[in-house]
Amino acid sequence: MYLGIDTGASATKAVIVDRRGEIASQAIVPSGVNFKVSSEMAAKKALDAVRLDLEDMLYVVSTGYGKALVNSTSKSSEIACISRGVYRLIPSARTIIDVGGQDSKAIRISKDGKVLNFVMNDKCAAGTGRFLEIMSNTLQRPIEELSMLHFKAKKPVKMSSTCTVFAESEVVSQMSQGIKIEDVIAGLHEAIAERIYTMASRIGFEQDVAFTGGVSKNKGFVDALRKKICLSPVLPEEPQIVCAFGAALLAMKKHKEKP
Amino acid sequence: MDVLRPFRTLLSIKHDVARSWQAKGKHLVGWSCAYTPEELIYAANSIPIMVSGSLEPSKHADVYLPINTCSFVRSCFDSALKGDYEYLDGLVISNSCDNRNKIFDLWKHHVKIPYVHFINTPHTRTEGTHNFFYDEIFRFKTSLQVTFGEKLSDTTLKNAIRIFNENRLLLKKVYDLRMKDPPLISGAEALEIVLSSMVTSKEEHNVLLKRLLAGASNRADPPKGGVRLLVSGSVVDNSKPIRIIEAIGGSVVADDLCTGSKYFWDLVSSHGDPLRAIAKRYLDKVSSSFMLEPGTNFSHTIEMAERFDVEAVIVFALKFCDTHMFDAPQLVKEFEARDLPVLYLEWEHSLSGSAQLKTRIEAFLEMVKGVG
Repeated sequence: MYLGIDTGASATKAVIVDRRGEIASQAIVPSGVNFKVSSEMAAKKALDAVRLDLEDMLYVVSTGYGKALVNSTSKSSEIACISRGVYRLIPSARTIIDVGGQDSKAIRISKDGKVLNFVMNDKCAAGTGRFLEIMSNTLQRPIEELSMLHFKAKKPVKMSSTCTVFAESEVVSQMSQGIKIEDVIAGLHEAIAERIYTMASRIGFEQDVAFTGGVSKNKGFVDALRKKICLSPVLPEEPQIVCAFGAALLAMKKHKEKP
Repeated sequence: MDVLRPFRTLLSIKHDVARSWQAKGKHLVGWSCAYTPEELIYAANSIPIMVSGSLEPSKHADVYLPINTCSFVRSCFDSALKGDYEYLDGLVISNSCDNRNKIFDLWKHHVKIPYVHFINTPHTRTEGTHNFFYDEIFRFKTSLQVTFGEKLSDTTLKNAIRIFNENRLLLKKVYDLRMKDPPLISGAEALEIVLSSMVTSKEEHNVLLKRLLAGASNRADPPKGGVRLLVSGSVVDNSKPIRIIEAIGGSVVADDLCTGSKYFWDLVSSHGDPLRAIAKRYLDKVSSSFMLEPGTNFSHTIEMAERFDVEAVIVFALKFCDTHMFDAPQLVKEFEARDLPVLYLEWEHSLSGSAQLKTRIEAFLEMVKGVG
């Protein structure tokens, strides 16, 4: 068995694959402020589910922000892991849009799964999960509800800024003007979709387009981005663990290549 | 003996080095743009000192500057406000980019400096601008003579040209140590070597370079090598970003930086009138992105990529270095036309957000190697 750990800015994910590369177990825990602790927790949770110990893992690959702090056999970039994970789950994908807690990425891959090009957001929360987290806080609605409310919107508002700080005060002023919460939420989803579309346009879109990362679990956001790029995306069953899954697949590959 | 240590040391104690020259009776003249004719300063019994910044986030400068100011000049101004350059006897300003111009206007206003001279550098190359630039160089010569009471004769100028040309030729030889794979010196070391030439006497630097060239092949701990990279950009005045790249599997073997190859690549002709030769060299040198001749400054970059046999390119787009950022998309196309993978990296002079920079560089290197 092989373990992949993706210590993200917001959540830590662990995936165990068997020797055929099939997912045996998976776990998602909040990253909190200590990446080492969260990665150990995620690994333990995934290991417990299949009643195994860390020693049973033939190879461990860590990735994500906290990868340096994780006890692993080797480390790899998120770009490589996401691409590997998507290639296995959706072989027809040529473009990947990954939106996580702190980063958003667009990746172009070849038909044999090699990374051809990629872009990442600048160090700014606009167009990431953090943006939505902060807005859900401001609106006092749990993040899970944003998706449901999105589809009730009749007249999504136009946000004039995707800067998280400015957008927050804009949201407050819209709410105080009596604009419906669902229209504000749909407007927020459109704003981050716009931002990601602009970034990804630098490397272009080729079908199929896969969406991954925790934010892709938000159907409202997926709807907004789908409309923006005018292409139907393909979504994996659990978008949030694709990177950790790719890390586990990489662990398998590296173990097999070991002399 | 470690033949590379002296260069790092010079940089780490650069202000002390400068003061020690002052104690020996030399005038210290700061400069910022690589278009400053340093030979004239040298001939005026002075040491030209490159004004640079630090990796610390700027504090004092933010009070005076708009947010979209080039992070390099912001950092330089911050150092000046802190008093890091209070020892300077003079400062030479040149109108290269707008940010730099305006910073020095503020500098003159907020930091006391005994002597400030402005050189008007043309942004095009025609017969007319060459004549104009010669006049500017002549005016600078006169100004230095009057200010420091030193006589700049043809002989002293020719001597300065000889010393500076020797430095340039030696630096080229040092760069050629990176043609091998793995290279004999790392990219971070090469940058430190060039930067250290800007903080001390070139004559002394030449001695260190000769020692390095004699001893480089028997280094105890040579670089391990990696993906052969060219770093393209404007100003990189600290080796830290290069160290970050080289710590994760890159091997920077070439550059087109104003603080790298562009600084020393062209020689001053040793024939004819020395002042004319200096004026011609500086206006005709490998151009910076502020020159209004789109594309002509790319030939040097391409030559570097080919000469040092690079596998990929990292474009270092310094935040708000607008002239360079406008040029970069066309440069990226030039590389892509030659099947060289390019990573376009926007970075702040203070290297904030280096975790994100690292992720991008790692993923890029994996992509180039076709592994991951």
